[in-house]
Amino acid sequence: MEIELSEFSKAEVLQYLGWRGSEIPQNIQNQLEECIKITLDTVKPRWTYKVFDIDWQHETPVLKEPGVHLIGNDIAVMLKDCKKCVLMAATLGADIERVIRMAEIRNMSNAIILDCCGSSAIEAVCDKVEKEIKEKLNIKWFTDRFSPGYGDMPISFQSEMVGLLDTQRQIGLTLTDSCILTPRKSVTAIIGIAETKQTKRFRGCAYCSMFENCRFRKAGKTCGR
Amino acid sequence: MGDKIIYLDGAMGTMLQRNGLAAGHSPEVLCLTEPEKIKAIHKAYIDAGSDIIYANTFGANSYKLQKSGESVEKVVKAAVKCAKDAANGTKCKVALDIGPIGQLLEPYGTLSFENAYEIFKEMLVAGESAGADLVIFETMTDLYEVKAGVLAAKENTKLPIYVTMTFEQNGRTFTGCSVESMAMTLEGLGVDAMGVNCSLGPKELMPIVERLCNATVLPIIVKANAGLPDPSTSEYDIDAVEFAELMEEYLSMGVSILGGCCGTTPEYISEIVKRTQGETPAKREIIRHSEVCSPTNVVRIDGVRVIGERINPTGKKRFQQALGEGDMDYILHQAVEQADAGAHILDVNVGLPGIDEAQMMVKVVKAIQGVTDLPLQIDSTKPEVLEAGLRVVNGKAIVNSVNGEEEVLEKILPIAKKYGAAVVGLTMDSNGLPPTAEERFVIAERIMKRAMEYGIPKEDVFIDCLTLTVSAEQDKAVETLKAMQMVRDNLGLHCVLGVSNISFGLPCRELVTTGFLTLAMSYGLDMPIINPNSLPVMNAIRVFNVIYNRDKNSQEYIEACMKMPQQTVAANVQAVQKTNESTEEQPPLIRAVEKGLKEDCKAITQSLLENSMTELDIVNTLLIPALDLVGDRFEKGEIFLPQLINSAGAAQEAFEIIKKSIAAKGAKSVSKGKIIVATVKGDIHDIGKNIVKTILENYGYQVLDLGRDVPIETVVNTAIEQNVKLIGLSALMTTTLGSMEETIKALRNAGHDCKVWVGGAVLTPEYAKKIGADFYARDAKESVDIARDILG
Repeated sequence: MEIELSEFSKAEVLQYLGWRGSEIPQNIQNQLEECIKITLDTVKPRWTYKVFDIDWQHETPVLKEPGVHLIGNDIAVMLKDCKKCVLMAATLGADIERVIRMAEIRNMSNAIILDCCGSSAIEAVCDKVEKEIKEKLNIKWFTDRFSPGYGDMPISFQSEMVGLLDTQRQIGLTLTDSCILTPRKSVTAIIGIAETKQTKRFRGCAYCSMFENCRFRKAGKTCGR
Repeated sequence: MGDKIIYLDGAMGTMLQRNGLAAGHSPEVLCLTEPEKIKAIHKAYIDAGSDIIYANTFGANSYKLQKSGESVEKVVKAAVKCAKDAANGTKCKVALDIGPIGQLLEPYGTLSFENAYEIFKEMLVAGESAGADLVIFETMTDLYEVKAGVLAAKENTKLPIYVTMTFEQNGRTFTGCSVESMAMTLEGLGVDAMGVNCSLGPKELMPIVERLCNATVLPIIVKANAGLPDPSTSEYDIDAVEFAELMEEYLSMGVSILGGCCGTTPEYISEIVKRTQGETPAKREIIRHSEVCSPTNVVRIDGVRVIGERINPTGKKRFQQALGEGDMDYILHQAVEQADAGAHILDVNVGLPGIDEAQMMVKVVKAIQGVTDLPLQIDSTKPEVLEAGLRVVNGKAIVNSVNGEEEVLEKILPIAKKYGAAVVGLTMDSNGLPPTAEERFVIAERIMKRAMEYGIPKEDVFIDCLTLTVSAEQDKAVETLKAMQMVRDNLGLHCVLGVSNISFGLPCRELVTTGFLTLAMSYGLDMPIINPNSLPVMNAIRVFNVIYNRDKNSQEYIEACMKMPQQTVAANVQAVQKTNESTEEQPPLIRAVEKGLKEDCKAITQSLLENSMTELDIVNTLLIPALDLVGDRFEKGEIFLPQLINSAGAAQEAFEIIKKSIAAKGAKSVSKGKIIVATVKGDIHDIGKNIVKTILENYGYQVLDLGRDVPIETVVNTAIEQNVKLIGLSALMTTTLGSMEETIKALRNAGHDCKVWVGGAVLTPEYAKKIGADFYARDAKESVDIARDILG
């Protein structure tokens, strides 16, 4: 499915760029605005999702129908109040990748800003998608979004996500041997459907325990979570 | 074409589900575990009237079968056998079904074109030996992947080839491939039929198929879904009767091969057969055009189309140096610059004594395809270089060139034909370039006829009537003009011409080049090979398009005029003046770097050189102090990343002028030493590495950038061959740290004396030590400190 993206957080872009509150000259402000516009014009967000019943085997959540174990303590903690969960995947498509590569040749600083814009944009897409699923399925409470590589869930779980959601056919999303999603600006995530209000645990840099010392952020990048 | 309808089958996946067969990771393995049930599904389709059934081999490739532990050969053979057993005693044919491999190809993924070829080859060889009657590539979204598959089929089997790709409602695939690009490229590669499958229902696919009907003479396949799925139930919304009604409409468009994809069952096929049996698909009238393409960009030659000449080392010292050093960035810069200046097609020539031209052609073509969507013209006199380039081109390219010599025609025309390329014919032969227009025309006609005999359509033949330098042979320029007119009027072919040659040896060359270009266009030149960065040249074309009523309402002309940089000259003069009147405390070049002013940096550096400051002095007393200053402010948080990089970019412009000046003098470069940087095997996050590279180059180091996803042996071999003492590796994922460690190990095992520093988000100084690196760098600034320590 496709989804329109009309904005994303500039504050997040600045965060990814390692901005520490210095004065931003007008020409850099203009550059940021231009990159945000290019990003919005270029991305072609697509998404897909499926709902699974959770079969609790002792403390381990298992996706009932395919019988897939969700690995790690952290996901079990996040889903503890849930009998169902949503698996989702979203991508900005490959065009933004080409635009970033072209910018690397023309103007490296634009490339870096565009890269950070992409990271912020895919988060914004996920927020929108989450909201849409919530409304469509009439869900009251969602947990956080949890992606492979968070906490103690290995990044290799991406291959289950990609397989279960048939992402190549649905949205053109594939995985490399090193478990990197391609196109690069893409996310897969698990969201629990809960009966009661949930506390925030994960999601994006702001909620990350590494926030203070994260080298990604200092280098103007994200870890992709 | 168009006599008889061929009926394909419907969905396999849908039928597996209905029969309670759990899909799991590889439904293809069911051919080993439940062959009878698979056979029953095939049988149902044959009974419904399918003329061709798809063996259950969609994902039976080595990548997707990994987890199952089964071999490709075993699964493919079992699957083809199931289908053949079911078809036994009927006229039904069995297709080897090949879906996407499951990984994204280069440049945006890590699967190389060559590996994709090998993966397909394994399936194809197994499928043919198991007795498949044809191969069908389906649900494809990446034209490059399809090309690898089609070449693998052509070169390793005798199977007829059908291809269907999957389009979204906007008429493009997930990777952006357009209907017309697919048609042009696949027809050129010599497939037997093509079409669309999956993603949409027969109603939604209609406009897409309509476009395809106008784009190819080949039989067209439509294998639509049973409408659109409800995402929560996965049920499709069109029943068999309605499906058949809609599919029948395709016959009047000239589609002749019909089937069903997701959600369709034998009932759907039998309804189509019932409804359409005995009908004849409409005949299609196709108007053929001269066109070339990349997957996302079709360039039709229906006006003046600019072929950018800049990717060519001939007579360009700086370009030669870049080629020799494998400096891909410089070459890509030339590509992007020409694209921005309005080139429609890029000529690619990498002929330089002492380099492996074929290998370099592959590297350069692949790299250019990663940054622009312009179609390419592969330029070489060597057949093996042309073939190497054409093989890895994504889309339809032009071969530059053949000439009237029979030996050349015999060697090169079959290559152009094999890869579906258009071809440029030079009007010369073993006797050289004939003086008169009439003689050149005779050669042009001969080339056209020979090309057509090799199966290259007439509209894919372009003629280059060649021009000599007017200062040397003043009476010949007019012959070139006359020859083009004859080629255009009597043969109906498009004319290519390298225009700038005309002015060689004369002062104010641009005046002569532009004047000749304008004349030449009125005599039939519509594919000039020129420097699109030259404003007068591009303006001459714009004016021509206005005068000849091609640029309606002069719209493009007016737009270009609005963008013309009238300010630049004045601004540069100002900047130059500033060099001599340093009013502020900092010298102007330092200030320009600090503020990231590229144009100023260029102008000031130029002026400093003219005022006989040496290259080395500019670097050591101005550029490096400027960068130190900026680096310092960055560390303190007074400026942030985009500003740092803007400054680096500005300094880079100054360096480029210095490099050019040194190359022109033939002197040794100012390099402070060679450094390798690479993003390790498996990792494709390379922005951090690129930042480090930019900054290191600023400090005067020669950086050999090996790119991303770099094989271990490439790092080791380059280090040894180029005798590089400092190597920087980056990795951004926990999953790729292993390959970083292995790269370091391989370097140590090779016994090469070098220091290794590492960086990347997931690394720590402790971990760097643990995997055997000599240093850890937190950022680009620390990388510079390390380089200074080791190389000085």
